[in-house]
Formats: sequence, C-alpha cells, structure tokens
Amino acid sequence: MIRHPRPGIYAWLVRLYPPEFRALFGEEMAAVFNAKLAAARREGWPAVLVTWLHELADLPGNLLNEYWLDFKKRSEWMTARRSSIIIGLGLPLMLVAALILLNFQFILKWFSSGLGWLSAAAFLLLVGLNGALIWRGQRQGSQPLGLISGLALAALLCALMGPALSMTADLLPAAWQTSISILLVLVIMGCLAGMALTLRAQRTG
Amino acid sequence: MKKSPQEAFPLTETTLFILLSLANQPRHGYGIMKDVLQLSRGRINLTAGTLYGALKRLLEQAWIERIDEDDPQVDYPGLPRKAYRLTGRGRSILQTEINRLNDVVRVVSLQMRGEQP
Repeated sequence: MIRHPRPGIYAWLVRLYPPEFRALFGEEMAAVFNAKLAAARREGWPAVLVTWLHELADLPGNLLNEYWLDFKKRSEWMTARRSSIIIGLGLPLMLVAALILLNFQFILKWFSSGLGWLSAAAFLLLVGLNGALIWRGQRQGSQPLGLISGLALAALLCALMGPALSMTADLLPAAWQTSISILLVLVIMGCLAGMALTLRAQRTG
Repeated sequence: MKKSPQEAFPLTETTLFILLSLANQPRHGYGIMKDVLQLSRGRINLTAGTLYGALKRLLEQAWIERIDEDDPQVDYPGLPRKAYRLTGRGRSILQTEINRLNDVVRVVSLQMRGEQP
C-alpha cells in the first residue's frame, strides 16, 4: 500500500512552479512522485536515486516551459485588456472631437448648462451598476477594475464640480466654457464606456 | 487556448501515449505514468512535472477532462481522488492521429517495397 503523501523535498520543489499550475496540480504531483518513489524503494536504493535524478533533471526544463506558457497567457490577457481600454476611451475621444469640429457653438451654449448634471447622472449609473453587481455577488474577478475605478474617480470629481461650474457658465470666458464642456462630455462618455465594459466583462467573465 | 485541428498534428509521442492510455478507461496521474511506460515499452518514463505539464495542455485543449474518482476500486489510496478521462474531442483527435500514422506506415511500406504509393 502506498503511504499518504507527506510534505517533503518534492513538495518544496513543486512550490517553484507558477502559482496557477501549483494550485491545480501541486498536490497531485507530490502524491504521484511519492507513489513513484515508494515503488522505487521496493527495488532498492539505486532505483530511488535514479527516480530522484530523473525528476531533478527534468525540473529546470519543465519550470521554464510552465513559466513561459504562463507569461504568454498573461500577455494575451493584457493585449485583450489594452483593446478594451482603446475601445472604452479612444472611441469616446474621437466622438467628442468630431462633435466639437461639427458644431462648436452648439456645444458651448447647450452643453455648458446641462452637462454637469448629465455627468453626475452618468457617474451615478456607473457606480449603481457596479454596486448592484457587487451586491448580487455577480461581479467577476476578470473585470478591468482599475480602468473602471479610474473612470469612476474622474467622474466623481467632475460630477462634484460640474453642476456648480455649469450654473456659472455664462460668467466664464469662452475658452473655459469650452474646456469644461469637453471635460464633462469626456466624463459622460467615460462613464458610458465603463458601463459597457462592465456589462461586457460580466457576459464574458 | 484551443489549437485548430491542423495545428494539433502531428501529436508529440508523449501526448499520443497519454491519450492512448486514457482511450479505454479514466486513470489518475500515477496510472497514466505507468501505462505510458508500458505502452511505449519502457521508452517513455514520464516525470511528474512532464506528465502534469502535458495534462494541463490537454485539459486546456479540452481533449481530456478531470473527474472526481468515485470508483471504489482505487489502486492507490494515498493519491488524490482525481482522474482524467478522454473527451469526445480527444477521442476524435486520437483516431485522426492513428489514421494519419497508419497512412504514413502504408506509404513507407509501399515505397520500401518499390511499389507506387
């Protein structure tokens, strides 16, 4: 009968593998090695020595391979995340630029009075959506939390400043009005993008 | 990440023997290790690191699946009760590889006898 695996040198060696690999197979690997070692013990110490040497000789190659595959997997994930950021922020920026070019005066007059309130509403929607998901325990760990937190923070600042600034828009110089309008449009777009990313990550998470 | 069928072939010898080992019944890691050694007539003596690296890849490709072993006939009570089983996709890949190897052997045999393949 094979004894239960005990923590030993091999269990320590297993700790050298990437965390994900170790979590999935670490216990099994140690148990399988112990079983192999127990079988070798019955054949005598040369077999035990060969078993150890065989395993140790394979270890560096296996470690390199697993770390390389782990790195590749993470790189693919980072690439996917970068594309989310480009879609989430790049598209709204382009849209805002197009709007400004199309009707500069319209943006100044119309947006300066209502944008502050719209940005506050967008911020509340974003926070509300994420809050509801957290409350229901449906939020996945794979979501771009950093990006959404950044958007939420920017939105919070603008939502706090926006209404006050929009009420005094007529008193401000035109350049200030334009800057504030652009900022608030960006916030709204950012919040919408954050909501889209949250929902997308929720579907694919 | 799953490979396309074209990328999968030819299988490495280790992969082929692991799939073969699981062709008739689910096995746990140590069972696979021993079976591969026997099937390869002692040529492929897998270490735990190599075996589990290969199993991880096969799980990612969905060629095999990990199951909780509830069969009372467990050979090695000290081992975790996890076993590996061939999936339908894995069986299809194995069959395709066997057909490919048969075809290679047929062509080589004909060529060596001086006949047209």
